[in-house]
Amino acid sequence: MGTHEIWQSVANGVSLGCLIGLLAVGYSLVYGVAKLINFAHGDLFTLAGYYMLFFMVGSPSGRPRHVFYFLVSTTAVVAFAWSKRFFTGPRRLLVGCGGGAVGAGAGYLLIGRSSPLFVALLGGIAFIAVAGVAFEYLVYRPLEGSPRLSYLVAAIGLSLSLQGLMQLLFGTERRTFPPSVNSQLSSLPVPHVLVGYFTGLDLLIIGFTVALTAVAAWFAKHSIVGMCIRATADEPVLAERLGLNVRFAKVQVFALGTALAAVCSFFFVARQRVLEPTLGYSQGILAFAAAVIGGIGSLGGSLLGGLFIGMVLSVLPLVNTEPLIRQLPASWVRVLPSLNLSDWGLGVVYLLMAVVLIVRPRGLLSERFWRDV
Amino acid sequence: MKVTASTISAPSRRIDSRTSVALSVVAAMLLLALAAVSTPRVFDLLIIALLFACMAMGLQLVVGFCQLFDLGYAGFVCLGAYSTGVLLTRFHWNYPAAAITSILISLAAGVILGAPTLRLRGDYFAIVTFGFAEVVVLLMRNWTALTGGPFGLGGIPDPVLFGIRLNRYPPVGYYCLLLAISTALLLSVWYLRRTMLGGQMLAVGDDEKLCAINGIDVVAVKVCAFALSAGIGGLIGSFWAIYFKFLSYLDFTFTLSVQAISIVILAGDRRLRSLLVAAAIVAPANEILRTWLRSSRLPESSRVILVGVILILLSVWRSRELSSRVGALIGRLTGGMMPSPRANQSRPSVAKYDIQHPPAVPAPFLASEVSPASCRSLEPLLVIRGLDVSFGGTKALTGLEMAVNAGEVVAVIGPNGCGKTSLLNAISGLVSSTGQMILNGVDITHEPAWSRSRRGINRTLQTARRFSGLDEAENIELAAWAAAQNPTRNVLARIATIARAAVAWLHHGHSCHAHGSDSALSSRIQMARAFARPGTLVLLDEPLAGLKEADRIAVLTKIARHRASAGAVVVVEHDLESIFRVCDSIVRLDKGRVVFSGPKHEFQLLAQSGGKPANE
Repeated sequence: MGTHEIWQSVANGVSLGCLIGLLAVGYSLVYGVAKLINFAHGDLFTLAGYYMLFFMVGSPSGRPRHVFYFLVSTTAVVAFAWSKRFFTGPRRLLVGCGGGAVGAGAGYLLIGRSSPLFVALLGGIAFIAVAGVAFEYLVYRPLEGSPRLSYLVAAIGLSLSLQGLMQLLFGTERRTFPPSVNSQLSSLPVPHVLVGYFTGLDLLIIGFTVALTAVAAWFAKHSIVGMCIRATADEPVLAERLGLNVRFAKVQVFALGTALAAVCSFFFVARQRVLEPTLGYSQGILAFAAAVIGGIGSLGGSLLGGLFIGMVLSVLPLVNTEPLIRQLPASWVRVLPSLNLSDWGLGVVYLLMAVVLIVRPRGLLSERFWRDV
Repeated sequence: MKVTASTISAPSRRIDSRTSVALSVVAAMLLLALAAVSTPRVFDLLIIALLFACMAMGLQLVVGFCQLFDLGYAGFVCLGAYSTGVLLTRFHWNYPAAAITSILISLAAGVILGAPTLRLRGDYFAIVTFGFAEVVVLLMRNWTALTGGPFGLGGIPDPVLFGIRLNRYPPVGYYCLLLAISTALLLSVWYLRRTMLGGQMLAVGDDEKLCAINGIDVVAVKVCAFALSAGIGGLIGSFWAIYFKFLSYLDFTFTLSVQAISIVILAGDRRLRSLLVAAAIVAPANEILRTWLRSSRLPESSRVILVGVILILLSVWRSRELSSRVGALIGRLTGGMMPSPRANQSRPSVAKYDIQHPPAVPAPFLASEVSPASCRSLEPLLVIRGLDVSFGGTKALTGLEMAVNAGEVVAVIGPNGCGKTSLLNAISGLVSSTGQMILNGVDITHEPAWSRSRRGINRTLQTARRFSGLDEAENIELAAWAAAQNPTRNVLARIATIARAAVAWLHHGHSCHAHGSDSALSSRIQMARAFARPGTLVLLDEPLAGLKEADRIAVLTKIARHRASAGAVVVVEHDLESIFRVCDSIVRLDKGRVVFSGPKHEFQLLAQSGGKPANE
């Protein structure tokens, strides 16, 4: 095995790690404010993939019209929730219907019309953010003030039902973006030095991930909205006393986090060429592990954690255990578990996560949280 | 956490009465009778319901008592099941030995996983347990040589118990075995809750910081609960293996953990009665749902959706008052049939105390006979040398030197932010500090908070807290129990007396209308707890703040009495006039340094002569 292959795996690990890291950044954002392991984050990631896929396809192959239900219902819910500022009573239902109509219109314009790449991408991002807000309103809002365990169970429930819904509506088969989009993305230019290690898409992924993380970090640190969000994360009661709209801060964070998941989803499906209903479950868990390793609440740390996991997953299969196995007595090999390291990828990730947490209980890069003494 | 007055006045709600446990055992007997008339289908249902009830009981120790999010319970069940399966098929052990080995393996896994990770915050722990379950499943998939890997492990033989071979068709023997296991589990968990270990688990779930200053080793208690729960998981797994005869790692995925947790969530409180009712609802409902879906030819994914929606509704339902109303209804229905719902005869409960005539207080508790003069010794109880406390660059205390004698009351005064509370935190071990601290001749500089508390440092917090899951007497009893490291029966009896006396004090000699107020009650409980051990060091953080005159005098009397019992008190207070009435010496802090330290009269002289009391 030459150094070329090793460098190739490392490059692969960087791209994969960026994808996991970007998802982890969204996780981290939501966790920072809502203080909840949003198990459904991964499933919104999958849903975003389906949105974009059905915005891109032209012919009614597959089941594009099912996306309609999601679009209409989530926009209706968000409009209903938002109308609370202005109306009470049955008029809110009217506003909700109006929102649903907007969703239906957008669906009519977008779904199955082989929209250009940009339109599909932006539409997917916008509507998945709407969906994130809608689920926040439907599932997490009624839980305010209840014990953390209830939040966790509700999040698991939301994740399961989204997964089931997607299986039911979109089918369990693996899909990918239409060939025209794939060829468009794979023809991106690459600097001569990097040919063989990175594709143009990989470079785009790395660039976007770093840029988006930086923007999100800057936003959280320096913008007024970010300041409100941080104040809410630290002391929700005090923030409310100060006149900040705590709920709106949460809504903004959910929208932002889910939008990041949508970007990540686009790149993931374009690169790995796979989209299936259970995708978000496995990727979401990896992303949460990444956020935990990096220090949850720290955006840079989450990205770093993602890179770490991506590296482990792509370099691990390179480790050749054949010589080791040959040296062991045959009677041992017969009873020992598989020594092929690629079988153990996830196990190694969890093990590393546990080790990192034991050594640094708040993750690698976390800022110290001030807690009451 | 919001605690209403109704939960305070009804301590019997928090613990299963003997009657309800007896009723559960009777229910188990009835289930046994059912064995005679059941069809195989009914047996299947009953066994699955019992399995889920057992899992919920195991999980209850961790999730219900300690309030830890354990997302990996299926991992322990999986370990137990595969251990039994492998031992029975590959090594041909007999069943009891295999079952005990499986329990031990799961228990060991619980200790190995729990000991390092139970220090983590709740959510981190949740994800670590999740990872553990995934790793166990991965192990079973990859260890093809032993577990059959992706093909599963089949051919597990019928076990022989006491010379009787259990038959699979009809599974009467299995059913009786599982019934015996679950009854034993029920009784043990019920008994555990009544012991001090169970009380500590509840206390850990309520308030970890309060545990630390009450001498409870939080991590040890959590590891204990986690390991016990893991062992129970192993036991369930070993039954799973012999009953289902075929093991596949796909049976032990996240869904199983979620199902078990959903029972605990539905039960909602920490009583076994609720848990059993919840298990009796969830497990058959799940089975019926599955059969219905199979017969109606809906895809499997609709079951997943239903389960998810039910989970969401469950947690929303739990968060609303609705559940408590239904709970009250169930309580009224069952309570009406029971002869005495408050049958906790052995445990001191507030309702029994005669407030007008409190029980006789043991001599060492009040120590009024000990004359103050005889115990004023010059032997220092606590010596502090060169104490530094800093929070990430900001120095809260610098080079602090201090000695506290037995039978002395030291008032620590100074402006806000001068490090008074940091001093108390450093002494009780809640913040890390450098320097040296000697208590009764023992160096306690490197000891954690709980162990310092056991050595005799009692403290109160500025805002009073108490364990809301325990009743008033239990709150005090627990602290006193933790202090006596190896309690004999004699000591336990004395602790009970002290607790009873303290509860009597809670209600005696105070204005009664404040009784309903939670914070007033908490502050009295913490005061009673701090003074429960005569002859020790008590640290009080602004004990007089916001009290009425009558209550102030009560607290000052407590301080004086404690001093008379050869104990020492360090009190941080802003109300100098009141505290001067009881204190012997003054320590004045400014910007983290001692600016005055000496007897009370010197301080007063300095203050009168107009000079700033400073000896910098």
